[in-house]
Amino acid sequence: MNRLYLLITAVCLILATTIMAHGQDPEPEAYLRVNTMLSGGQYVETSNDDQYYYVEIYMTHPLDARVYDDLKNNKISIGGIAQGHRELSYPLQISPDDCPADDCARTHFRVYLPKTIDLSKTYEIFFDSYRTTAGDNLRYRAISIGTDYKTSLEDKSLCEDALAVKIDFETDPAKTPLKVRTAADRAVLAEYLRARISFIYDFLSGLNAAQLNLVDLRVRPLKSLIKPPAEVSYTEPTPGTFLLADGVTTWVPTEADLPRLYVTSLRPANATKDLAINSQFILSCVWTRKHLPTEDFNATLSLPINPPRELVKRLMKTGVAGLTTISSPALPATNEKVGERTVEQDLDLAFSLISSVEEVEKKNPDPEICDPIKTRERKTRGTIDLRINPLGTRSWIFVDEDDLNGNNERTTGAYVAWAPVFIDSKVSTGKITTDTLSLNRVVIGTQGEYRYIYNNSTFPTYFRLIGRFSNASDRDFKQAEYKGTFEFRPVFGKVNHPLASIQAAQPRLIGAEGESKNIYKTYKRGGYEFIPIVGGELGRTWSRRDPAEAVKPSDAVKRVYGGLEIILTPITNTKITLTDTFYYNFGEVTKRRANYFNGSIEFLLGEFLDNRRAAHSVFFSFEKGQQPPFANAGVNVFKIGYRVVGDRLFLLSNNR
Amino acid sequence: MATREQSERSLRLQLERDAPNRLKQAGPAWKEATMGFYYGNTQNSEISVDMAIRASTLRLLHEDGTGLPPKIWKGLVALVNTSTTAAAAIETMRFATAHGVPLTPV
Repeated sequence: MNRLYLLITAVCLILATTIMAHGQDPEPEAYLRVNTMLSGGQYVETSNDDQYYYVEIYMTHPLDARVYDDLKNNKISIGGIAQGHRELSYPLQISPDDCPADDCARTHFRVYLPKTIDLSKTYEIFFDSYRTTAGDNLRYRAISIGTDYKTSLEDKSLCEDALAVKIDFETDPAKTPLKVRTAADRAVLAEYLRARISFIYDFLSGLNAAQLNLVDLRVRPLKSLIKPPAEVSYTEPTPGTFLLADGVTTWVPTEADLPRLYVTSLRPANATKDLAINSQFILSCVWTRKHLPTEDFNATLSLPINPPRELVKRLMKTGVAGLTTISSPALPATNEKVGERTVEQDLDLAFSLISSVEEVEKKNPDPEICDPIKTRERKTRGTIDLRINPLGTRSWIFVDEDDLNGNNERTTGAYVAWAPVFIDSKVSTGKITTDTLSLNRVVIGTQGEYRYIYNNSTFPTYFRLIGRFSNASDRDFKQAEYKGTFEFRPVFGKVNHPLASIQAAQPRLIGAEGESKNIYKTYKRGGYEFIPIVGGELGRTWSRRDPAEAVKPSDAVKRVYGGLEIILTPITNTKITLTDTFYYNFGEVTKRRANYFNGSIEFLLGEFLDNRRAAHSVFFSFEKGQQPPFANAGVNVFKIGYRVVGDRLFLLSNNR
Repeated sequence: MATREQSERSLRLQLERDAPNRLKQAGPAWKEATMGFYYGNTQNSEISVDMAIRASTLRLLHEDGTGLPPKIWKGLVALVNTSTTAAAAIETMRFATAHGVPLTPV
């Protein structure tokens, strides 16, 4: 019984293996190639017009040796080439590349085609009878003929604002395994690709002005109407409908009516021919006399100048963006101190209604007592909070190149940013009083940052060194003081897991184009950030001309401060920020030590006016304590407000 | 200049180093995930993505002994951001290496 069971199992295994092996057999492959050869140190196409093209056929199974010999001696025919149902007269023969050494593979066949063949039609290879070495008689009805290249018109090709033609010869062994099955196959293919890339490279490099003038590049702006040319008489009864002079026929634009751009160069971007051969593709920027449309457009390119086979087909690219879109900035930060907030965005504008408790002196209701009484009353006022980098922020990024291939498990580098001019201000309604002093400050200055990236990762560790030199004044510019500030903010990856970074790997309704939904997993935790802050300030008052009574001349500033910023995001679109800063003043000062607390809860509303570079939010906040220059009793303020932030909006801003 | 395979290998090496957990989570579909999937979506994430792309491209350029003109670097980091898929980043890096200029031996 056991033996029978073993026998059945063995038979099943053999059958399964056979079926699987058969199922894994790759399909035969056939490629149309141009007969190219080396002549006088240069690759040229053959002058034999009868054998200008050839179809190289790679079969899965070796042909039976006897049949192979008969085919070699032209005694039999086992297949051919057909166009539709019509068999063509070009014979199928053994490929010269089938026997790289003495031993023939018996899997490579070839059909030569003349230069005159119409390649706009579809051709197929067939084998009526293909007897394998295993004795099977196989029949292949239609082996489609492919190419070794893919030519495309590209827009995001780093040719500045120009389109580019890309001819890609790279082979994907997973999709076309047969043509790179053996070392000999790979060598033959490499030599063919070298020949073609060299030939095309020379062709594109050698185009003269007359040839370039014939290159037809048409663009179709997608938001503009194409109107009939000036020589056509027409009427436009409704916008976009053009009736010709007969009053019946509607004019419809053809490709010839589309705006044409004259090409000035198609020279490959690949610096040398060898580099193009190594990378297995050619990239030619399509430089034009006039620039491409600024609105979204479609484009077609054809080269009616007897180009290499790879460039014969008309190329098309649809939906090219007129302007590069940039991703949305991060959502707002909530550090409120005027003149001490970091430059991170080009625009940060907030309107607030502030409700605060203030000390008010009132006439004593007892007529016999002259001294006024002090009461605390809540007052409400409006405030505009504006941060702007009118020239934008210039930034540079460096990567530590010494360890690109080393064993170091982290990527290190630096980020340097400079805002030549920033304006940081809060301006309130009403008179400037001791209680509204901090709400009527205008700071103008310059700021730079050096960020050392210790470990570039999902939750990176980096150290921010921020330097700032600024001039601060009251709202009316009647007293001015300069100040130099230095701040250090270490961000440790282990205690900084922003919600936005956690959510990036969570399921969502709409992902990026082509993005798999299966890569996401649900995280139950919220986000948290703990950022210590250490800094110092140095400065003094340099101008004073009849300011408001509440504005006192400030002492020379010499202070250090330290604090902790905590940001908790327990749920989506809600952000709780807690900041506490402790100050220590040097020299003769009214207050040696001071503390300032700011807590806020912010509801993030997403993109502002469909602008991916701006975001908005609603916030509530509470401030308590003293801030420099510590001239008053401090703040005790509750705010409700609305905020808009924008990034990379202005002149010098570059993409980070 | 790089083949697609080289470009892919270089970015994967970078992600293995910078975001191994996210790479493991993405599994075989790692090229379909956005760069933000690996580097997050905070303000610093754009810098992290730029650094990753720079490091990956530099690795390719070192293999060829070439360098990129500043305007190509600028274009490369402008084209790849947190919303770019890894597959698109690989292709963009490959495009960038086409603009590589051989470095003169010192």
